[in-house]
Amino acid sequence: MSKQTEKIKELIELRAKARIGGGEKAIEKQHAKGKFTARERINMLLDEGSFEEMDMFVEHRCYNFGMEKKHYLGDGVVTGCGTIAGRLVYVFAQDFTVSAGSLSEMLASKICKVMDIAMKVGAPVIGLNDSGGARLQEGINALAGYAEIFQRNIMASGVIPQISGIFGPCAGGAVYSPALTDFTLMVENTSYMFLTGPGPVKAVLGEVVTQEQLGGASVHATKSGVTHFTASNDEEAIAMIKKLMSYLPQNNMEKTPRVECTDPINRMEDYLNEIIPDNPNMPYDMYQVIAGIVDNGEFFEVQPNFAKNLIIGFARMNGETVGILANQPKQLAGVLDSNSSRKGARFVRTCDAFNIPIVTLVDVPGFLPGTAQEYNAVILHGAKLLYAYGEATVPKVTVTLRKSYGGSHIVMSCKQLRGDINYAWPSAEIAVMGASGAASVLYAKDAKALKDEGKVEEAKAFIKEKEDEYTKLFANPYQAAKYGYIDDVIEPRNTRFRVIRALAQLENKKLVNPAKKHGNIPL
Amino acid sequence: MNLLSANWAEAWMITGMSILVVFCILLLIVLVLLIFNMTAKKVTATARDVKQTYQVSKQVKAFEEASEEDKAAVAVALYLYYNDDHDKESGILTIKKAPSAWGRVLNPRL
Repeated sequence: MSKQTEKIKELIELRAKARIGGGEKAIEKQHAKGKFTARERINMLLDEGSFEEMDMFVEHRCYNFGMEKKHYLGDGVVTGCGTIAGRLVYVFAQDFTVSAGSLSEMLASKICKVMDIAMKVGAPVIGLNDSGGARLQEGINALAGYAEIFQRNIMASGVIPQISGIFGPCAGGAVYSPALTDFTLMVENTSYMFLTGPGPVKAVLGEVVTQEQLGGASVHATKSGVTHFTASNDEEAIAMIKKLMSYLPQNNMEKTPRVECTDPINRMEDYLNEIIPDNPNMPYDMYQVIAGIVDNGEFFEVQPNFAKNLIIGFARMNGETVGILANQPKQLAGVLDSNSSRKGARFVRTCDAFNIPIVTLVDVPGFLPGTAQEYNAVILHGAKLLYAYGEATVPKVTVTLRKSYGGSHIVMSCKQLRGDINYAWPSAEIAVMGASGAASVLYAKDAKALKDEGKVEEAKAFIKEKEDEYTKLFANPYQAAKYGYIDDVIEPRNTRFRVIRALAQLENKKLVNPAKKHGNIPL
Repeated sequence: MNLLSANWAEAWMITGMSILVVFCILLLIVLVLLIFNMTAKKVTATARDVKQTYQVSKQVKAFEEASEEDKAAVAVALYLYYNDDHDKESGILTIKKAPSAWGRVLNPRL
C-alpha cells in the first residue's frame, strides 16, 4: 500500500470516528429517549446527498477537570450546508452524545463560522439545539462563545432568516440565541427552555416546579409565546421547519419563492356573504374566512396557541407568500391585548424584514380594558403593533370585515398607517367606538336627567333610540369610504380575487423610510 | 417394635452411599456427552475444511486454466475490492440557481 493510500485510509477512519460522535452507547441512549442524533436530524432536514460538513476535525482545547482525556472529533456540534428543496441553507446541530452537547469555545467557533458564511452568501441559518448548556470546564471561554453567537444572531437579524429548533435541553445563556432568531420551534416532552432551572427556582423562591412546568414546549407555546411552533416529535419538527422555509426568502434582498397556483384566483366562496352574524355580539370563526381566500385553503399558522385573539401565519395567494394577521372574534371577541399586540408586532416586522406582503383581516372591537392590561403595559405593547405597521414598507392590504373601533382601528393597518389598499365588507363598522358606548357617552346628561325625573324606562328608550341613530350613521363602511379612508367596499365572496389583484398591483411598490440609524420602537 | 429398634447409623450410611452412586453416574453421563459433542464438532470442522480445500483447489485450477484476459480481469476486480476504501461523495449538485440581488455590487465605484 502506497503512502498516499495509507493517508486516504487514515482520512476515512477519522471521518468514521467523527461521524460516530460520542460513541455507539451514547447514540443508543439518545435513541432510547425517542430522540435522533444531530446527524440524523440533519439528514432528515436536508435534500438527500446535499450535506457538506465543515470542521469535522475540530477539537476542544481545554485541559481542565479531566477534559484533556476527553476528545471527540467535531466537538459536539455538526455544522455545514446543504439544500432544502434545492435552496441553499446553513445548518448547525448540537450533538448531545458528545459531552451533552455542552457549548465550548471551539464548538461556538464552528457555529460562528457557518453563520459568517451564511451572511456572506445570503442564505438562511437553521440551528438544531440539543445542549446541556455551557461547558463548565471551559469557564469564561464558553461564555465568550455564547456571546460570539449572539452577536452574529443580532447582525443577521432581518438580513437572513434564522430558525431555531429546540430538540432537547436549552437552559441558561443558551436560550438567548433561539430568542434572537426569527422563529423558534420546540419538541413536546423532550425539549425545554429556561434561564434558571427548577433547582435555583426552589433555592431562591422556594417554588417547586418541574422542568416541563417551568419551560416545556406547552408553556412557551401558550403562556410566554417564546416558541412559535411545537411538534410532537423530531420528525414532525423537521417537517415543520421545511414547510416554514418554503414561505421564506433566502435573504432580505430576495423575494419569497413562488409556487405554482392551482387554485383559481377568482374562486368565489358564497359562504363568506353569510358568515357575519346579524347580531354584532355574536362571534364567527375567522379561520373560515382565511380558508376561503388563500390558495387551496392552506394556512401555516404561527403561534397558534398563544394570544388566540389574534391569528397570524403564512399562506399563499396566487402562489406568492403572504403574511396574514386577523382578529379572531371567537376569542375574547377579537380584542387586542398585551400579548396579541406583541405577537402581531413581531410578525409584522418579520414580514417586513423579508419582503412578505401583509394581508390584515380586521374585526376588532377595541383594546381589552382593565388594570391587568394597563399594569402589563398594554400601551407599550399596543404601540409596538402600531409602530410595526406604520414602519412596514411591504405591500399592505387590509380588509375590514366587521368592527373596527377607536385606537384598535388605527393599529390594525388603517389607511393613515400607510395601508396601501384598504377594503371593507358591507358589514364593516368603522367608528370611534361601538354604538351603545357612543350613545351612553354622548347622551349621558340627557339620560341622567330623565332618570332623575324617575323616568327610567324613558331613559332606556332614549338611549336605545340614539344607539340606533349612531348605528345607522356610523356603523357602516361608507362614512370611512366617504373620506377615502377605505378604498372600496367589496362583496365578501369576491375577497380572494380583490386581495390577489391588490397584491399584484403592489408588486413593485417602492417606499423608503427616512434615513436613520434605527428607529426607537417602544420595546 | 422391631422396626423402631433399627440400626440408624447403618441406615444413614446406606442412604449416603446411594446418593453418591447416583451423583457419580450423572457426572459420568455429563462427561461422556461433552466428549461426544467435542468430537462431533471436530469431525464436522474437518469435513468442512476438506470441502473448502477441495473447492479452493478447484478454483485455483480453474484460474490456472483461464485465459490471460480472464486472469487480468479477476486480478483487477480483486485489486478494486481490496482497495475500495474511498471517501465517497454524493456526486449530485442539489443547489438550484435562482436570480438574486444579493451578490450585486451596490456601489459602482467598488
